[in-house]
Amino acid sequence: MLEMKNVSVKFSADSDVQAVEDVSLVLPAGGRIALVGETGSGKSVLLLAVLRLLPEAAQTKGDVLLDGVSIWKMKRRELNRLRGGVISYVPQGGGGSMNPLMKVGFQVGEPLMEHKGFRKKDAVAKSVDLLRYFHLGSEETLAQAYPHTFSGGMRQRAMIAMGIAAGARILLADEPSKGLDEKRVALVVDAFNRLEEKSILCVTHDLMFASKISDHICVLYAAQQVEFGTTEQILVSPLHPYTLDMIDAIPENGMKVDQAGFAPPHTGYKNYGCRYRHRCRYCTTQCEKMPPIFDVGDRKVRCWLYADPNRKAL
Amino acid sequence: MRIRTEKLCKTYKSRTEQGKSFYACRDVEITLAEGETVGLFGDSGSGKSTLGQMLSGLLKPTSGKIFFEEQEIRYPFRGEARKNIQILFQHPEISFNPSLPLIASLKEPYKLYRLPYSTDILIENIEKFGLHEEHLYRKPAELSGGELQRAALSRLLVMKPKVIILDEPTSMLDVITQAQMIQMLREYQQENRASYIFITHNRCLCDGVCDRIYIVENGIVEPEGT
Repeated sequence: MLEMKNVSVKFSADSDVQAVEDVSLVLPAGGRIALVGETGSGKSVLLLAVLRLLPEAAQTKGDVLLDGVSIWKMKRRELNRLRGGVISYVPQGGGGSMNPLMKVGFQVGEPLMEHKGFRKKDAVAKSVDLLRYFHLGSEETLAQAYPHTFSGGMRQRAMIAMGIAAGARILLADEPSKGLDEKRVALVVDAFNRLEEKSILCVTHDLMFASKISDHICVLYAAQQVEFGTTEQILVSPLHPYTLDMIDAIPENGMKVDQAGFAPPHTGYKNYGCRYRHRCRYCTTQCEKMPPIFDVGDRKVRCWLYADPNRKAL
Repeated sequence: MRIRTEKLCKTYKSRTEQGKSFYACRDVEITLAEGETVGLFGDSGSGKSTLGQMLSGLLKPTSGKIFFEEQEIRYPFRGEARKNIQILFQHPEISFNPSLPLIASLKEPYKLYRLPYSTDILIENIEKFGLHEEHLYRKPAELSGGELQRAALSRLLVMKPKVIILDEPTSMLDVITQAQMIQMLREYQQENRASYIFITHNRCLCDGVCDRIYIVENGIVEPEGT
């Protein structure tokens, strides 16, 4: 179980800008959570923060616990054993994250050499099996090929194979569907669905992709968590106005959008109030104060509309 | 007809087999009328971006002809054709010079086409796209993908083009920014009777935006329904 407790991230000590503000999230064993939000909402930063992959200057508050043990307070050596061995990170855009000078087979097998003491020959042989598990096709040849010969979807699946190579049970995936066409996205979804027992925390801006791979969705807006619930609840009966706007804007729903206010406000403003208020169709004077997170049944939402516990979904 | 092509082909040399070449686009015949949005739908690698680049004058066709308002235009485009056919790319972050602040990139069309320019005119223009003066002095890396893509759109609309080639303009954006972009494009189309060629791999988006759709598969372009 991976537990994030009131995680906040700033990129430098003297900056007011919050990249992530007070996010709490629990990823149970075998759970699948999608972090959804627009660019700059802090979702990728949150993912990096889990394994302490942020730049040195970044200021963090809160804690991240793995089965009750703090990852943030671990010694360097323990942390290195954890990275790739227990929790692995699959970065955005697959291709750029692979070493262009090394064969894919070696790169996919590298975690085995690092964590399980495999010799190079055995690791490369095992990587062929891993690639086969995700149906890449003619795996022996591919293991001997260089990353530039792979298509975007193949690279993404090879990166997932690399992620689980050393038996990591938690996968942190950053935008695995970005820029891929529908057929390739379907292959990535298939790859995720093969990882039955693993817990997945996946960042995406694509709600349709999120609906296929997750059981819970956490919506982030301007560095804050605004809604948390099961995938079905979020898609069928959203609570937060931002989630509703997002669902309305999907091409399948006719791309309805209100142009008032384009971007979220600066996250450093003190006493700004609800950050979504200048775009929100339900905005009232109450929204000039920052709403806390309200519990609505088993769901969580940051919106004054739910100060009344009997309020129904939008 | 704004744009018409006749047997447009593009071949590339094969990298694996020496001396061989393959068709990225083969005998493409498409038409684009005034005020119309035409979709090019296909998987990655099907040749739709190659076609888009040929139509915008960035790539020299191997053979075939392109007509703009019934006049044949040749690579590289000049004069009216160059001004009136613009392209918007998939990756906003590489549409701008990374080492210059946004203002330097945004004022280029004004200089190039000798349009009246002052910082106020520029600010007035970008405010229609939800950007503000403070954005002008930042470098591309300090802006989000959505902000950059809107800046790129504001820059190309300065020329008041009649044809815009949209090469996956929204595939890197979140759904709300995507819907905002589509709405801005629709408004410009209604005001100026502009024509769009919309290249995408998202079927739902294609159906929602386009009047007609061409299916692109292995370099062959066919109108939908045939």
